Amino acid sequence: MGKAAVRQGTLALMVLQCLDVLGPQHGYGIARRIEQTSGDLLSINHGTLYPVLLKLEQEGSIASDWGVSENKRKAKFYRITRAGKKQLRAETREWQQTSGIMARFLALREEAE
Amino acid sequence: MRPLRRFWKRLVGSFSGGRHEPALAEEIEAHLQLLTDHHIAMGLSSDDARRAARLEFGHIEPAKELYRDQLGFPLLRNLGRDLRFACRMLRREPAVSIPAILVLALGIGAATALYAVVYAMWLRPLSYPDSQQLVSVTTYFAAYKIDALGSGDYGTWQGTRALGPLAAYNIDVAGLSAPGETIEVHRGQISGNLLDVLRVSPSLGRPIQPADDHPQSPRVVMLSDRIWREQFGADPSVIGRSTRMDGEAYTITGVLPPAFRMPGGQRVVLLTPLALRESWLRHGGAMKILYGVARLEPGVSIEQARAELSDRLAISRAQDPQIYRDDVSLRIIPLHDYAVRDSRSVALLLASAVILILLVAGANVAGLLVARAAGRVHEMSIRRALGASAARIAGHLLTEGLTIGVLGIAAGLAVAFTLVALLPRIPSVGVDVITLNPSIVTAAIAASLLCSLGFSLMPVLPLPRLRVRRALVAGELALSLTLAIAATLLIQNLAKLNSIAPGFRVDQLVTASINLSGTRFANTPNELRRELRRRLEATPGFTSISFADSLPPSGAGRITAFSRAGRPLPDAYRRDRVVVRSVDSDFFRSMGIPLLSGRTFTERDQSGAGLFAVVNRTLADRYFAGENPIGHQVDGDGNPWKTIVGVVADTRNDGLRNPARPEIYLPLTAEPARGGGITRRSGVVVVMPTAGDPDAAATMFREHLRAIDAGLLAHVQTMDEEWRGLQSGPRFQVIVFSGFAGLALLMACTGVYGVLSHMVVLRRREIGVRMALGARPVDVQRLILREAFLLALAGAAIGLAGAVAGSRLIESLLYEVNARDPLTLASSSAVLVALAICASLLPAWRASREDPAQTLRAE
Repeated sequence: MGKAAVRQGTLALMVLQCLDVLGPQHGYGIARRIEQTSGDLLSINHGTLYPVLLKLEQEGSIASDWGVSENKRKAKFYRITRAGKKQLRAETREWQQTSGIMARFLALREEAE
Repeated sequence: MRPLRRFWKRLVGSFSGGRHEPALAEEIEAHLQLLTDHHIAMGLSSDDARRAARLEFGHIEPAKELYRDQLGFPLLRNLGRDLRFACRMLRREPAVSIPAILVLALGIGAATALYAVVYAMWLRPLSYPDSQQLVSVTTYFAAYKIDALGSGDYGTWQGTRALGPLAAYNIDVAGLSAPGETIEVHRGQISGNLLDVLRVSPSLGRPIQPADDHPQSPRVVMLSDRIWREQFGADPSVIGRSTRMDGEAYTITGVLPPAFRMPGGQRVVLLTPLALRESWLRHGGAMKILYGVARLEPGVSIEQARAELSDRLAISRAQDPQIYRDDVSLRIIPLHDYAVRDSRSVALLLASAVILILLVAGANVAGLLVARAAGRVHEMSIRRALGASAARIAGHLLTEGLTIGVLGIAAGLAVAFTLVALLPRIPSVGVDVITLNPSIVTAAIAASLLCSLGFSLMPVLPLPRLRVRRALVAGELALSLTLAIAATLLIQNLAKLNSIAPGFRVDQLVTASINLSGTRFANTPNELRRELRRRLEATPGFTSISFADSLPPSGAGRITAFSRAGRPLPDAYRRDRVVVRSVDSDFFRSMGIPLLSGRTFTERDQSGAGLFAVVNRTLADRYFAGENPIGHQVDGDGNPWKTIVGVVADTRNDGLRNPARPEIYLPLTAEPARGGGITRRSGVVVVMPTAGDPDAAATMFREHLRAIDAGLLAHVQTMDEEWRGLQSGPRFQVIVFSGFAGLALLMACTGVYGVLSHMVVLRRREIGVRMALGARPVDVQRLILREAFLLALAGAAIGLAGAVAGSRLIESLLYEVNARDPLTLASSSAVLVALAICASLLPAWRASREDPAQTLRAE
């Protein structure tokens, strides 16, 4: 089995979750974390992360500041805002609901067969 | 909240103009560095680590592009870029952009100003609340050409199911006593319910009410806002105060709102109640001329109102004297249509001119843009090759066109504001208020934008360019020919009107019409005449003054049925109407009306010793064909018969355009004729031929009049002014149409010039080959001129068709000019063809100067 591509719309949720758990992170850190969490099953082009970060920032879910990375390089650090946490909670609930329903549906099909 | 916030951020981001770029690059670089560090730590060489980092990050440029799309709205971002590019192109190619903007500015400016005139004449809504329910109620007396409501009908047509209360009004001139002088003002005499029907409330005081509208009621008056400010110092305490008018005291009850106009569109200075006697309000007696207004009841159509009132009309007619019965028809039309009835045909014609001029300007700019697009085929193919989508290029061309459009509109509005400021300086505009209000400006901008969109699309559409340009130019030629024909017809019309002989002296003649009502001469006009004659004859410069009760050419005078002694009078009231005018013995000499046979009046006739009449030639020809009218008796139906003693030449006695009516002159002081007929104006009319300056004479006359009685009001003017006044409308039409036709022709000629220059460039190779094969320059010139000739012919054909189709629009304005006059149509077309050929001379000459060797080598 090859690496799965990231489904549309889920990347934003992953970014928010990451920032909520890990605290402020730069883009590289977020990308790494997503890959690691998925057990390297998920492959993302790191470049695709930036439009998502911009969108979240425009929506006010995350905020950013320039800082210095662990290897002493200048990098932009993103952190989750209060609005972002609220959005994360809402979307998590929604996602769990959807995946629960999907799981049940898929099980149903197996039973029917 | 979140989508809104994002929308706002993106909107702002659309115009960031690349400010984010350094930060984005830095962030990506930092990311790549961190990735590289990671791979180095994993044991790769620095080069390999960098390569691996690149791989993991993915393509940088597409990521950046995605980022940019997120940052703003791509459409807006492209627009911004296109706009910047368009502005750059406009600056770089002033040869295209400046003429385009100029043409648009002139076209839009002229069209907008004209539209403002049309609006003021025709489209402006009435200022009354729910004015679409208001209707004008009149009856048309065909024999007298009077469109009015008889007082008897007004009195008896109340309480219909279709209409609310029927209100009536009339407009006359009254003398208002102001501090130190008496001023002549227009007064609206209104029924007590008129303001209620119109739903007009006074801005101060109370309105005129039904209780005021009786002959016995205390006299009340309402002031217009303007006279209240000018004569009464805008003093709120005038309410309840007394003012004098025509020698009577009136109590001021209220002040009208500033925008108030009478239902017919007239402005008045005062309103007083009609206060009609009971006998006027019934049928079977004398009739007073009024104009009716009413509101349709909710849900009632105008046809229902017509049907119901037609029945009433039938009943009324049966009770009326015979004279009012014939040829009377009911007219119920929306009040707005009634208020604009006189200007409708002019307004329609002007409105079509607006559209034509806008189309010509649009076609012209479209031609320019198409030409430019043709010159940029190379540029476009490079852009396509570099990956620009067709839509993107179309958007780009569209933006360029619209940029020109917007600049043209801005400049055009400036032109329009200038024109609107200048228009009232033309003395004969005939519309009192021409303004550019927001609705006019909005309409102008919308129409111009639509037009701009049209011409911007032209280069984008996948059409053969030269053919499109040819079609555009042919269209321009056609439209301008239509305008030019209209202008030519109107010029001919003016010339015809100018050539009308009045039949009386126009130069060196001052006339005065004195209003006697409410003055001490009201019942003794002869006393005033004697006094005036005594004073004026003692004044140098006044040669032979005379008096009358009315004057040509305005159609005033008494109009009555013709009767002749010794002839049976079968159907008494079906006969022609003749003008009856009372004049003194010097009248014909003073007015310069030649005597054809017999004699005019003598002093003895004036004393009433004999009942004599002088008739005009039309009357003599019509009723005494082949006979000598002298000695016969006329105008004796219900009156004593009068014996004809002389025949004089015709005068224009029924307005400028109409042929002379039969006319009977009676001695001024003889017993006035009775027995029906309609008198439109009364009072003392003075005719004063002058040796010197007529204006000075008019001033002197006013001084004499004031010396006799400061309360006397007179309308003094030179006959020249009055006669020219009748031609002012046609003169205005000529000014407007000549201007616009000239503008359109100019634009069409630049169009011809442009398209032929374009063609010469495109056919350079062909021309080179022809010349190399021995064609002489004159052959090449003929080639190009032939093209121009064909274009002009096509344009002329379409334009002629348009002119013929539109001829009905203009016909009603013309006097003895045929709107489809073949000579006019042919000569205008010939001029158009000649102009088109002139415009192509330069391109033709240029083509013939091409060096064949050079052009062939260049290919």
